[in-house]
Amino acid sequence: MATVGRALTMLAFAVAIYAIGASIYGGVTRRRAFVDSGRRAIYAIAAVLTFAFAILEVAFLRSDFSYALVGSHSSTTTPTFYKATAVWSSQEGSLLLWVWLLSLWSSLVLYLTRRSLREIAPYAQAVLAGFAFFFLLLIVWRESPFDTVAAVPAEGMGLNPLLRHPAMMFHPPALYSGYTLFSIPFAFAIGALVANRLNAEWIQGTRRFALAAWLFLGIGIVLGARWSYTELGWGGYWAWDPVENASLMPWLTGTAFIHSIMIQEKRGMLKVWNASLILATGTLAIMGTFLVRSGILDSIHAFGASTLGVPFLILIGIMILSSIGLVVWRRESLKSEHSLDSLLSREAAFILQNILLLALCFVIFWGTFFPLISEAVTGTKASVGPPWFDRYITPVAFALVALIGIGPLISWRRATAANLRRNFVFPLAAGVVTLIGLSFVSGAWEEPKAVVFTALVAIVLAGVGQELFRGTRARQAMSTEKAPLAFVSLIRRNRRRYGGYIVHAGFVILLFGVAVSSSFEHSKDVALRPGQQASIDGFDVSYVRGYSEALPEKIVFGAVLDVSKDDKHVATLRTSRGFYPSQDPSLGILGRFFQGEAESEVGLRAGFGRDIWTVINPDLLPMERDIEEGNRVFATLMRAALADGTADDRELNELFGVRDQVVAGLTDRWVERPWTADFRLIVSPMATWIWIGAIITFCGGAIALWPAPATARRRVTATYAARLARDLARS
Amino acid sequence: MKVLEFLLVLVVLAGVVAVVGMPLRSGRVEETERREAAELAELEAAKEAKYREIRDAEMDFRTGKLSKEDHRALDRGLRAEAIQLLRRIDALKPAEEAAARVARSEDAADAPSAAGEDATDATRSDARVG
Repeated sequence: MATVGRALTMLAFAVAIYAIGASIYGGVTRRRAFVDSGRRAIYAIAAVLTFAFAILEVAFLRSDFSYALVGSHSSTTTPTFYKATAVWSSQEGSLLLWVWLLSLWSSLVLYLTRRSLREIAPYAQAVLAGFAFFFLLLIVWRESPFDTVAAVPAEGMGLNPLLRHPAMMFHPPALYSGYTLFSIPFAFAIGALVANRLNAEWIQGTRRFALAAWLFLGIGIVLGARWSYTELGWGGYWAWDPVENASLMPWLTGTAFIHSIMIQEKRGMLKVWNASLILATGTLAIMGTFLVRSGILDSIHAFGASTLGVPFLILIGIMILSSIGLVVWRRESLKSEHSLDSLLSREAAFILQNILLLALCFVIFWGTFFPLISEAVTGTKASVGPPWFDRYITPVAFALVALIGIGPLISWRRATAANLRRNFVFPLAAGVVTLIGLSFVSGAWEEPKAVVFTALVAIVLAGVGQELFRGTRARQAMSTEKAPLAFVSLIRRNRRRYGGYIVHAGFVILLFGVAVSSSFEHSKDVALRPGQQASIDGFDVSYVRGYSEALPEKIVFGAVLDVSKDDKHVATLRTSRGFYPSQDPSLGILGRFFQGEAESEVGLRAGFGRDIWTVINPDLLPMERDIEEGNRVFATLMRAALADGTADDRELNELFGVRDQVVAGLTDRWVERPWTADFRLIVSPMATWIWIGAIITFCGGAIALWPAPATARRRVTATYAARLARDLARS
Repeated sequence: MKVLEFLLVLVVLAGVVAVVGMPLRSGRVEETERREAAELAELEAAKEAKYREIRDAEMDFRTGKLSKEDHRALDRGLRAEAIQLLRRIDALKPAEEAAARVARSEDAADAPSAAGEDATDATRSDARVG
């Protein structure tokens, strides 16, 4: 079936070329049939690529090592769950995932807008097909996932151990969904610029897709952070790594876009800003893929070297130049219809928030590309670390949280002093009470920035609570509903507004978790034998016993730790490090079992108050002599068995059986004659709120994204139409 | 096996050609897009935005972010702008309705979307206003 897969990608490539041509021809000549044909071509690409992707998935699930990709990224011992996800652990597979998701989302948006945006859609279609063309070009000519090998190996290399984590099932598809979804408003912005239809129409047609992109990208980023926290074994969730930053940058500009389009929809303002913002976001999304795939920057997330830097740079160059060219060409049509009425207005707050988000993006961009910039200027590759990012990001984050508090409470156009008093008294009081309350918490003022930040978070949460309370009361006044039902109706009927407020609440809770956990974290590296203990932040951590496992897939060295405080048991933690057998024969017959790739299992007791986190790093040096001795003995036995040419499969299997027993015996020594192991211990207050905040944020995003009930929309439209009719009759 | 694979690819290719080529085979190749339809879509989008603005102003008033006087002035202005949009929509409607009839026959193969139905309902109710 590899041949079919390859043929399907070639077919999709040819259809993408047709889709570009038919869409542009239809748009220029206004021949609807060609536009429709171009749209259907994109549906066809989605169908063909779904088939191709399914072929590849089946090959992984069946461990069909005749596919070079399956042999190099999976094995028979890889659990089924990870076999399915191994498709996108490779460059070839992830390129196919990218273009497949792009084709699915493109088909969905083109289907939904098939009767609207008729002047814009042809050019947007062409841009979307252009992206498909680019990725299929790479797949067909450079990185085919359907390459086969002449000599089929009995066993594959296995999946990179670091990628064996549940988050990896969803992290790349979520991230790529975010990237590909951002290409939709990008494409429609290009279409609007080409067709010179630059009012709110294209924004309304694609707003939901921009929000979906923001949501998926956010979920992908948080899953990546969770993976880092529980799998990488360094104790953190964010390291300002280039690949992490690459996904955060379009998310930030996308956040700015989602806010500023409201101003264009309501006031006809910021047209040039919105067009530029989404063009930049689309470009940054491609740049995110480029950073992962090009290998130009060192990253713990870049799995495998790549040769795709140049094609991606060409694409990014085309995107930047065409974006700038189109905005300059249409500058007259992009002029605002209104101007800012007052600096005390929601528009002004949104503009300031946009500027801050862009400032954040610029800081991250500079820090990410600094190694390349420094190399170009000084000839030496220098990089900046987390302290550099923290220095610039922290003050901007403070200002952003303050604006998140102000934005929902201030009115559009112009806020009066009385309105401000009425809306800000309660949230500000909540902030002051929080500040005073934290004065009684021992040690809180050792980190004044965290205390002030917490007060800002309290202001935001109180503001959101106040909005929900007042909205519910207003709903009750308009209906006979009881409070809980009125609350649900309020959100149901104003999903965009209240979904957004819930996002704000969740996001500041997430930031609260980040601020407190990073400010008050205690971390310690210790070396312990079973029976020994160490103390951290008032907790006693005892190494109770070691445990080991010699599995077909990996060898595990673990430890059971007991955590207590004031002689009271708090938690039992299990942490381990698993070693996957290497395929490198130079490591020796036994050595390859102990010196292959390794992954950590973190011991974590998560709680609303604090996380207690630990990871073991077993020192295998005490086993080294025995492993080398075993290597020599088994090498001699193997040579003897193979040299006389009489060894049959049974004899070889017996030899391998003895080898496995020796490996198991060596592994058991970890428990029978235990030696010192290194542990990292971390006590991190409020870290769990990062994940809780993220869940709330994404629930709010989903509420805002969900379409309004059709019946309600019709009723509201009719209601206002009737009111307008009365006004019309009076005038 | 190779023959089966070849046949499979051929079937997919035939399916793609059928789907993509359908609009070009149904005698519509020479039809051109009506500018009125695009303009009407633009006005409908502006009208929806205006309605949303009116509803948001109402919500702002009810949650205390606008005084009664401010809300009244703002609401009056927004409704006047909405009425202008309705007038322009009604002026374009006869031409567009004729085009829509053609479009409906073109899209007969596609299932009607909820959004499309909503838009039609909204247009109907707005037509009563005018």
